[in-house]
Amino acid sequence: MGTYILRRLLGMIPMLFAITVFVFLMMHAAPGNAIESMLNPRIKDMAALQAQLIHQNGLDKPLPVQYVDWLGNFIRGDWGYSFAQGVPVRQLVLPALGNTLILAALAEVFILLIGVPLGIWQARRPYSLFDTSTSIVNIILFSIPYYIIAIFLIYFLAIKLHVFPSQNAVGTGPQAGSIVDHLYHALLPALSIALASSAVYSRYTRGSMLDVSRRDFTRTARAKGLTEGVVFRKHVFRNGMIPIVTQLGFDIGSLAGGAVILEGLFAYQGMGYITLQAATQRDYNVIMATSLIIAIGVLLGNLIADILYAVVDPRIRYQ
Amino acid sequence: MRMMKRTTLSTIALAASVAVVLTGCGNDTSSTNNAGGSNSAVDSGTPVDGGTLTMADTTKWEDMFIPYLNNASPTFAMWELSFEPLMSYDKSLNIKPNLAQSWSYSNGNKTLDIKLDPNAKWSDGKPITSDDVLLFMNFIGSKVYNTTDQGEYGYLVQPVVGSEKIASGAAQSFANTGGFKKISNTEFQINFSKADAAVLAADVSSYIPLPAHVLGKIPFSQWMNSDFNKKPTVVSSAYIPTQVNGQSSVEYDENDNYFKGKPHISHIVLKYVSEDVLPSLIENGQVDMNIEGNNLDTDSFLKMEKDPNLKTIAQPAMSYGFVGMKVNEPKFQNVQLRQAMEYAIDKQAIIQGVYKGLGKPAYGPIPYFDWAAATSADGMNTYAYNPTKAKQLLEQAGYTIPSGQKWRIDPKTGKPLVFHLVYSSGSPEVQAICTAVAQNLQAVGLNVQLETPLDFNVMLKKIETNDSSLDMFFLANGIGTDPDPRGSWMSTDPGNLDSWKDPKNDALIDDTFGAKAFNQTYRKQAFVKWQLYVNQQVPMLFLYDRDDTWAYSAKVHIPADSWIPGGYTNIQDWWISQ
Repeated sequence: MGTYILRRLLGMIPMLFAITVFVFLMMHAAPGNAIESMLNPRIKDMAALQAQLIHQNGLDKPLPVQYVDWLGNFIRGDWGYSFAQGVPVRQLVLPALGNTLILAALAEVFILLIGVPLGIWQARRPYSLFDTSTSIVNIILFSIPYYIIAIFLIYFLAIKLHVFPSQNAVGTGPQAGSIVDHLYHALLPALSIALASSAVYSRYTRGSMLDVSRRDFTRTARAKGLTEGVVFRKHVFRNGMIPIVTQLGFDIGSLAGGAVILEGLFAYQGMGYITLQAATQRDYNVIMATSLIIAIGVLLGNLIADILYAVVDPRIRYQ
Repeated sequence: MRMMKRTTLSTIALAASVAVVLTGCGNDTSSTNNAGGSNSAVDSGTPVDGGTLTMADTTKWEDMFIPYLNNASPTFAMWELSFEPLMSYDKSLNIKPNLAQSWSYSNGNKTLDIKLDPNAKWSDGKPITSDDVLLFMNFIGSKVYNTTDQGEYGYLVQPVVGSEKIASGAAQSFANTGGFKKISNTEFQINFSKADAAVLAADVSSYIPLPAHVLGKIPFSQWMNSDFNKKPTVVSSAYIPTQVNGQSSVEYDENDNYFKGKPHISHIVLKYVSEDVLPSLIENGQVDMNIEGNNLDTDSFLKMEKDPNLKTIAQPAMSYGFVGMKVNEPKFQNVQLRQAMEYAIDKQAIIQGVYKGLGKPAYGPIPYFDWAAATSADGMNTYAYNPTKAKQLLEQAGYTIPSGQKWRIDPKTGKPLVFHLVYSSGSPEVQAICTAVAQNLQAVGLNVQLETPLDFNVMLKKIETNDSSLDMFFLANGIGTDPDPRGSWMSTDPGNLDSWKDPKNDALIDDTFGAKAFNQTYRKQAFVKWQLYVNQQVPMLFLYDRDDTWAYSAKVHIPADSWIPGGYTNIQDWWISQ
């Protein structure tokens, strides 16, 4: 397994390289950049300032040279400077990444805690009143965009009932910035993501469990006289979790990129907002950094899913 | 507190539709209130001390407190509570004493002698001195600020003698270049390379003394990452930051040593919130008010006007909306065509339809509230909506409609005229404005085609490169606290996106900052002459001077004289009912 993980990690390098080259070329293919968009008429000689900044940032060099420069600096820990925000990229991106990871982790916990048990419960009593009614609720939740759910959660839980904060990644006062404070502020946005996503998980879980419970090996286990609990734990559950693990891997990757609309609604300082802002402002250094981080998130998510396959299904062994 | 703002060209901020959803969910008791009016804020009573004011900013800032170190406008709101400029402004944008108590010119208007308020102190009780002004000038003009830090505000000291040496690193202090002379702790002289009447209000007024006894010990190269930049311990304005919670919020305490007097309100919390949720947070009392530059959407504002628990106010914004034209192109060179276009647009209807009446029609480059603004009494043509007059002008100029045709022809070529109007994507308000403009112009026979909205950067690039796919474009132009037109209006200015190259216009602008313009009466007349010329030439289609909007809790009391165009001032005089 260790060799497999190492091989997969090494295999990510060319993929990341290809992704960064693609993003780099795409961004530079779009007209304009953050420096050329500076339009402060009070600056007496804007053209000279722009030319100076373009030269200083190496934007007048050939594209391949710019890319190699960026890559070399990035590897050395110099992520460059945000032209549009006027701060070093690390200072901009790392706090946002931290907030996004907290939100993503909490959202995944909610998704798994709500979706998987619900799906199992539905699968154990298929076509019962409970199964039908919760399936209807699931379909309704899945049909509503998560930002609409977020608006209702903000209105009822934050504005009307004052139960949760509706804005920001941290609060005020002595506890501001503590892990508890972070989690407290991530609760509503995480719940907004989780309600819709857990519906998907419960459907996957239900379907997978039902499928496995009708397989020959499950019938054999029952025929051997094993109790229903043992059959479920040892045969149905572990085999039924394989599609869930696949979905989890995808989710980890996609959540690393943040949720643009949600972050806007909750004024949550995450990766989605800064990535969108950087893309509209042609803020190359920020886009490159966020793209790379998101790509790493997606690839790691897939790797985690592959590792979890082996955990849930002992038949799977990687060489 | 109020100081120079970045003047920028921009599109109007996005008005997200979800805001309507949220505000639509609010309680309905507001219908019983009769506060009404666009300026429902009435404040009276005896101020009391104490309380916490929670203000909301809908644009994310960078937690960098050293003034101008970060170029982004939202960051200004954060440090403006803590740092004071030399001068401030009144409702007509006339310059007023602030930290600088008085000033006078000498040496053929090339030397400015400034006396600081002797009572001005830092929050630690130490006096604010000439050395603190010099430190600011040295930093803002330095090579570090203008290169490593990529600062945009180096222009503030460019007119000062020796600025090139400071910028190149050849000299470290204006005191050594002849640009600055300390007379005493509270008096100093600034020497300029040439006399320029705009420099005082456009540049020097925005100088912000920095505490030399604290920052003077730290090399400029370390300021960006210094603790002071993250949370200053010494401030000159009304509030001291006590806790910075990332980019989520900043908490401030009153500055007991503030030179204008101890503020009534004890604490301020500045929070970053979603613009979609802001109206509900204000209605609900979780936020007391929106900060300057963070407009409420019009529907929310009108609804809040009727809420008995809120006060509202609309103040003129520091910007105007316009439709630019490529006036250097042959098809725009007939002035009667441009004048006809201005007559053809129903600006009042646009303001009423899009901004629910929160604004005024514009007809010149200096907004009506500015001391330098020319009025109809000065001879300005207001270009009141008159499609008949527009048609007459077009006919006189030969822009006729051939029999059986719908659109007018170009008299020079005899071919049908087509104008391509573009605007940036993302704002339903901008789309509504441009649709109205196109329809108004089509109604007088001008074939104006509304193009697919473009990403702002793409549109800008197309304008700057004179792309043939567009003839007209919508933008909003920010104005500075001095009406100096340079930057956007001279023939060679990069901000002159219309590419209007007119020697007479340049000469008229020259007169607004030349030797005679140090006399304010003369300068006003010079501005009037320039505006009359622009008004007659119509190099762009002026649309509106819109209002900024605020709503705040009824428990917050803001004296009427605190409100100025684009924002507020004198926060130390505000108070909260207990």
